[in-house]
Parts: sequence; C-alpha cells; structure tokens
Amino acid sequence: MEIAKKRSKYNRPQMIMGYLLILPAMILFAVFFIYALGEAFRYSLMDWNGIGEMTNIGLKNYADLLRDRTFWMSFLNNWYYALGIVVFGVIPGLVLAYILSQPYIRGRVIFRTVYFFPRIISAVIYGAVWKWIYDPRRGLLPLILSALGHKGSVALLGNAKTVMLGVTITGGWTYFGFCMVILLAGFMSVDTSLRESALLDGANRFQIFVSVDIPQIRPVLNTLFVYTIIDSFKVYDLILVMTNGGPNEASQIMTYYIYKQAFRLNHYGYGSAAAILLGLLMIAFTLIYNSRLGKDE
Amino acid sequence: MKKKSKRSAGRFVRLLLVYVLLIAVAIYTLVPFATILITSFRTEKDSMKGPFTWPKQWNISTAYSSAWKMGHFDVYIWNSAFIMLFTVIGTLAVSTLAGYSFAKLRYPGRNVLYYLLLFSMMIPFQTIMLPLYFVLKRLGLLNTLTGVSILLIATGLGFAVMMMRSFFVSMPDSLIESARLDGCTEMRVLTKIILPNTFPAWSSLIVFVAMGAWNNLLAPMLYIFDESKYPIPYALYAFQDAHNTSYGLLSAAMVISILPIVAVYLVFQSKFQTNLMAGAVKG
Repeated sequence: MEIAKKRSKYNRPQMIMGYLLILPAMILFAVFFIYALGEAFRYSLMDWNGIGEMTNIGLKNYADLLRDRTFWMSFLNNWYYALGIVVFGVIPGLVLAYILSQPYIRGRVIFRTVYFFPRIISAVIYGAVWKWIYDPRRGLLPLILSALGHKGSVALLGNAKTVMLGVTITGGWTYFGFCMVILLAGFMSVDTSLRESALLDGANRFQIFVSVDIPQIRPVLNTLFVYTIIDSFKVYDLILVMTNGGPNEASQIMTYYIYKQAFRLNHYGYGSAAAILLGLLMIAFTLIYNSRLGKDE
Repeated sequence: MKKKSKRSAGRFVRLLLVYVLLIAVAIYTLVPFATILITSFRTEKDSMKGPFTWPKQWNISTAYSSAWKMGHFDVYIWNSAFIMLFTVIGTLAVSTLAGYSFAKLRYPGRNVLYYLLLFSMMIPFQTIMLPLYFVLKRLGLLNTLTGVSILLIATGLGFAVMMMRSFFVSMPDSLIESARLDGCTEMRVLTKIILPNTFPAWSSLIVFVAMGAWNNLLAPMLYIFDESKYPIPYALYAFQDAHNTSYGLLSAAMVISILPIVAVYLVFQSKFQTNLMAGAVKG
C-alpha cells in the first residue's frame, strides 16, 4: 500500500526525462570522480612505482606517512598559509568592506572592481611577478626597504625562515579583494538604526564596529573563515611557481608534496596515501563548514 | 560657529585619510599589473636590467611580436581558447540539463544522486590527479586538449550543477505545469520553456568556468606533453624556467594572456559580483 502510493508520485515521461538529463553529468561523474577516487584509494594500499608490479602492503603507506617529517611539515605549512591568508587577506578585506559600505564613499564600484582583479589571473603570472618583487638584487621590496633605511640584503624566498611569509603575502594579495566583495554584502545589509542608537549612546566608531557591525555579519564571516581554510589547503600553483617547495622543502605544502611523490619520484602508492589523507581532511573541514551553515540559518 | 567648522575640518581630514587608504590599497593591487605592462613596453636591452629599474628606452611592439612569434604565443593562445570554449560550452550544456532535472523533475533517487555529486566538491583535484592520468590514458585522451577540457568539465561539475539547480529551484513551477496541462511533452517543456529562460543564470557561471579553464596550470602540466599543445599558463611556466631574465618578452606574454580573461571579467563582472554577494548573504 505504502509502496504503491509512493510509486504513483512519479510520472513516467518525467522520470525518463529526469534520468536522461542527468545522464551526461553522471557518466562524467562516475568515470572521472567515483572511479578515480576508488583507484586512488586502491593505489594507496600498494607499493607501486607505475612500471613494475603492484604489491599490496595494506596500510603501510599510511603508517609511514604519519612518521614522515616532511609530510607533517607540509601539513603545518598549510596551516601557516591558512592563518597568513586570514592576516593578509581576510582582515584587510574586512576593513575595506567596512569602509566601502559607508554611505558617504564615492567610487565604490571602481574600488571593488580593482581590488578583485588579482583573483582573476593565473598564479603563473602573479607568482612570477611577486618573485620579481622579492628578488634580493633587482626587486621592488629590497628597493623600498633600503629607501626606508634597512641595511643588508633581504631574500624572503631564499630563506627557509621567511619563505612561507613571502608566499603568504602574495596569497593574501590575491585574496583580500575576494573577501571584501563577500563581506561588503554583509555590511550593506547591517541594520543602520542600531549604529545610530549606539552613536547616541556615546560609542565611538571602533566600538560600534566591534559591538554592532561584527556581530551582525558574523554568519558571513564564519563561512568565509572555513572557506578560507579549505581554499588554503588546496593551494598549489603558487608554491610551484614561486618556490618549488624550497629552499630545502621549507615551503612544502600538502598538494605539492603529493605531486612530488606521485609524479616526480614515482612513489605512486605513497603519494596516493597522502592524497587520500588530504581528501579526508577536506571532507572533515567541509562537514564543519556545513554544520556551521546549518547553525547560522 | 567656530566649533562647527572645526568639526567639519576634522571630518574632512578623516575623509581624506580614508580615500588615501583606499587609493594606497588600489596601488598595492595594481603594482604587479603595472610592472608587467611597463616592462612589456621597454626595449629588451633596457628591461634586462630588471623590471624595477628606471625605464630609459621604449619600444611598443618588439616584445609583443617576439612573444607572439618567437615565443609561439600565437599557438598557445589558441590552445587556451580551445580549452576555455570547450570547457565553458560543455559545462553549460551538462550542468543546465542536470540542474533542471534535479530541480524540477521527480524520479526515485534524485536527491541521493544530487548529494553524491555535491560530494565531489569536497575532494580536491590533487587527490585524484594520479588515477585521472590512467583514466585519460585508457580513453586515448592523454596529451590532447579535448582530454584536458573534458577533465575540467568533470571536475567542475559539482559546483556548476549546484549553481544551475539553485537557479531552476527559484523558477516558478506554474510555468512548467501550465505547459504540461497544455499537452506539451517533457522534451517540448525543456526546449520551449526552460532553455530560452536560462540565459541569465549562465553569465556568472561563464565567468567562473572561463576563469578556471583559462588559468588552469596543473591539468595541462600533468596530461599534456607536446609543446605545440601547451595552453598559456603552462607555456608561461615553461618559458619562465627557460628564460628567467627575458623580462620584456615574459611581460608581453603575460599581458597577452591576461587580456582575454580581463575582457570576460569586465563584460560579466557586475552580474558576477552581485551573485557572489547574494550567495554570501544567503549563507
């Protein structure tokens, strides 16, 4: 009875059409995602260099990875990058969005368009130009620093201690405009009467910003934070172009480590295990992100 | 009276500071762009000294013509255009049909399949990039622009279908229902009612997909081997490795490669940013 009732909900031509229309998407999805993901997992259990025989070694690759210092360093570098993007991307974006949301600002569209520009070009381009900027001999940064009275050479990317800082500043440069666009919408929809009443209560601008504006855009801000972390763990091109993971693996990150293990060293099994761990990490982040979304709505 | 003018003076100073900050940030944003633009217009000898030396000699076209001809960017730009067009058209076709189906048609398993598709958005490309090499190889699509394009369509599908579905969800049911009551077949509903009304949803999807396809470095790097098939980002990458001091040539090549995507962005940008902002407020 229940089943018969349920079946009558569907109308035959509509069902056929429905399946027909998702067919191309599902074929692509099955071949290029489901199958590939299954294969990645299968490789991760193997000792395999791509040419010789595959030998199943169980979870050994995973056990080795968890003891691999470079892998952990790349994990930490991803966190460094994520936090750096908050400092050089999200916070400047927040301040700019607040300023641009003020009703007296003219030229909002122009500023918005310009700030978003870095986001539309390839890392091959901005990575290379920022490398020129940092260049210790011919760069713009040493030029500015020496004009400010700094003595001695500065090699941000050549030094293991500062290389991640250099990369992160560049990453932030591509990111703050994007954050600004996202947060601007939030600030534009802030209830202005609350601001006015706080002003009447004698609060200064900074106090209003912290206690009136920020709480109101909190949902957008939280979403942006989690998105930023997810995005930061996907970074790849920038490292490839600017540092190749160097000097001495000091700027190694997870995606680049996977690439290096799988495609440069032909450690197919080991690289795949690292790839699966990255995938699991991203699933965890996304679940946190979605539970946040659920809460905010 | 005096107090009032003092206050408006303070206000003026504050406004001035705000604009100084906004303009300083704009300069910070534009310095790299200005650098390659200026460097591309210098003579080769002049730019050899580095992009941040004072330009002495100008030459408007040499760097461009040598990037275009000697650097083979006349070939690379077509490869990139091919990938971009193939990916954009393919994504629009596949995701529009699937988005409509997931939003408006009823059949068993619909939601399960949709959420499964969304799941693909969580997994970064790097997790499956090695198996995809073997997938392409087996399909005979390794080292082809078509292969890279199909791969980009497939890996961007979750996002594209999600966008299209949310567009169709907001479309009123009454339109479809009345067409059905008039005796339209499902196919006629699709071609006469749905597709003609889809264009507004496409503009921001086009920007996303075009940008992603035009700028993608990793896929061609892994799956394309012939230099004659390089798209621009990979060509630029290989070129940097080989000639790291030909600043003029490199800059010209970069400017050439930025122009098409800037054009796409400026044509669609207001719609694109509005959608980004709307998405942000929604959640």
